[in-house]
Amino acid sequence: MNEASRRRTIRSFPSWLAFWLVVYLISLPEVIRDLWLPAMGEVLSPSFLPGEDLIPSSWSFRFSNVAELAPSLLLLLGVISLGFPGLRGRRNREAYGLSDPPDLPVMAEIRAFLAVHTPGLEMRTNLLRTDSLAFITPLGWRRQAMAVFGGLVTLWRRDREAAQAVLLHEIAHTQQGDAFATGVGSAFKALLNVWLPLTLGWVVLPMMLVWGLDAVRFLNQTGVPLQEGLSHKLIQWVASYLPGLSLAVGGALLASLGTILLPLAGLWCAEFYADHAAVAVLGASAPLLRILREVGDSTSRGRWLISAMTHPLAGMRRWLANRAFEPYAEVLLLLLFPLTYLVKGALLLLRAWSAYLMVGSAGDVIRAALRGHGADYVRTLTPVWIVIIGLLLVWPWLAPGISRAPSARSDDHEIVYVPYALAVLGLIGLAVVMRFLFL
Amino acid sequence: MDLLDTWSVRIAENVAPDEVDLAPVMARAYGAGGAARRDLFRRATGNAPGGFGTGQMTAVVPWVLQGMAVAAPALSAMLAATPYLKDFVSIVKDALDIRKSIKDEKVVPPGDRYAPLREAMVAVRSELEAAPLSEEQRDLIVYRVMCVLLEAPAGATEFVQTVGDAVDE
Repeated sequence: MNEASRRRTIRSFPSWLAFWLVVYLISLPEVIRDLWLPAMGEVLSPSFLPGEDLIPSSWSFRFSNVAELAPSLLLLLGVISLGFPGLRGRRNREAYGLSDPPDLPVMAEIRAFLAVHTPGLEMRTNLLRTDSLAFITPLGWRRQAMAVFGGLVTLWRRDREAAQAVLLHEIAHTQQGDAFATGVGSAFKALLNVWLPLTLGWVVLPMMLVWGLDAVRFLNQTGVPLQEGLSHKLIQWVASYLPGLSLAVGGALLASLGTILLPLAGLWCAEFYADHAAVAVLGASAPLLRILREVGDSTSRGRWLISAMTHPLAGMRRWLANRAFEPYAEVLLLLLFPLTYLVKGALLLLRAWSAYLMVGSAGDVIRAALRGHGADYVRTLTPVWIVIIGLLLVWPWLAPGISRAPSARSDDHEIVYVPYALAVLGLIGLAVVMRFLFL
Repeated sequence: MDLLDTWSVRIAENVAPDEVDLAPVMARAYGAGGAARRDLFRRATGNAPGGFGTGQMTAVVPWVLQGMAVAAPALSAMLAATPYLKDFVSIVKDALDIRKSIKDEKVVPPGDRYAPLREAMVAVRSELEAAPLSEEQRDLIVYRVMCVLLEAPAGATEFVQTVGDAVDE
């Protein structure tokens, strides 16, 4: 691909994280009114709820019944933490032993590279650590620094372009305006990372507690031998409780995932866009692919699910980086976040379906109810969808004034509008389909 | 400081050229001990900061320093006992043979004049067992370290002594 066509593929993307944050804050009063207050009222009710007087400790089911409260609280705490960037910066400095960079020739080379692409960005270092490469760390509300480690310095010598790809990825986070939430030490990310074990604990532990106490009560009252009694209760549990528990856990997971899906998508988009920016500036995807292949996924899939889902898997990043100059990949990147709203809607419908199944509703009742839920969701989503379409329509002209990404500067290249136009058409088409299906 | 800088760079040039820029910093940190030394040996775990892990990459120079520090007595004995200058070429050739014999676990005849060299190589190699390196990498690093030290035994002796003192702290 020649230089002229490479320049036409450079793109700028909206900061969907910032977009989500604005929508979240606007909708927060409604969340408090419709979710938290009723949920807290139920959890903290001093009197027995129906059935609680019959089964010991079944009050703990109150938590399971409001499974989405856990991730919702996580989200709120994460958003609050965004207001303390200086605290995060100090914590990073202490945890990673960051200090002013030493006066070495290689640091002057790296500093010169940073100056070309992001003038004024400060640098902090810990060259003794070769287990890390680089990341952006906040110094305050409006100041950030590039933290550079020994791992990057050795990479700078071994594979200069790969090291530059790493730095350009990190620079892109500052220029895209999402470094406030992404990156090391982000409590926002750390809290979202534990949504899965928290939800499982929130739902499963109360049920285990109730079952355990019920088994103890049974053994005490009947006097049967321990082994025989436990076998009986275990069979009963598998036959009677497990199906209901499975549906409850499944529904809770769907509800929780639905709660954190949009910020999760915003974080993933931030990483994909940063990769794309690195590829666009270097003019080739090979350096980024080399570093992604070399370092691989240091996290196992299981560990990723339990504690690292805010970061996309390296395989996804490689797939997109490989196609960075393909028009359809750019359209996909633009649509990734908006499409998440549809996935969220599907999760909500799945959860509702599982709830209806638990109570044994008839098929036609379920279908009618799901259609109603779908219609409600589409109506709620419509204003957001319109804003997203409008944002993508004007973004190529809006971006130079908002985004500091080099690809956003219109004086560097001609604005190529086709991917934005295709994305907008796609969103309008989806809106028509949703209206046809549910309204 | 010059001694550490000079020799750490020499070591890095021969065993890990990518780490030449960092070698003096690493050597001083190793000598300082404590948190600085611990930072040198940190290994990448999951959830890599910044989204780019270092995978199985690891710095070699700290491990070499560690190996030399623990094997300092054997290295000092080797440097004192081994003839140098005019016999350097034969030492290098014999070092290759010794390396092969260590690998093949050959029995050492009594009175072997290169026993101190062999013992030093075994001592350093055993310390490198803990490093995330392949067997071939370990062998090559040990061989190259010996070559570097034998190029200037006087200065090497002082360097080995300095590094060896650090491990005792």
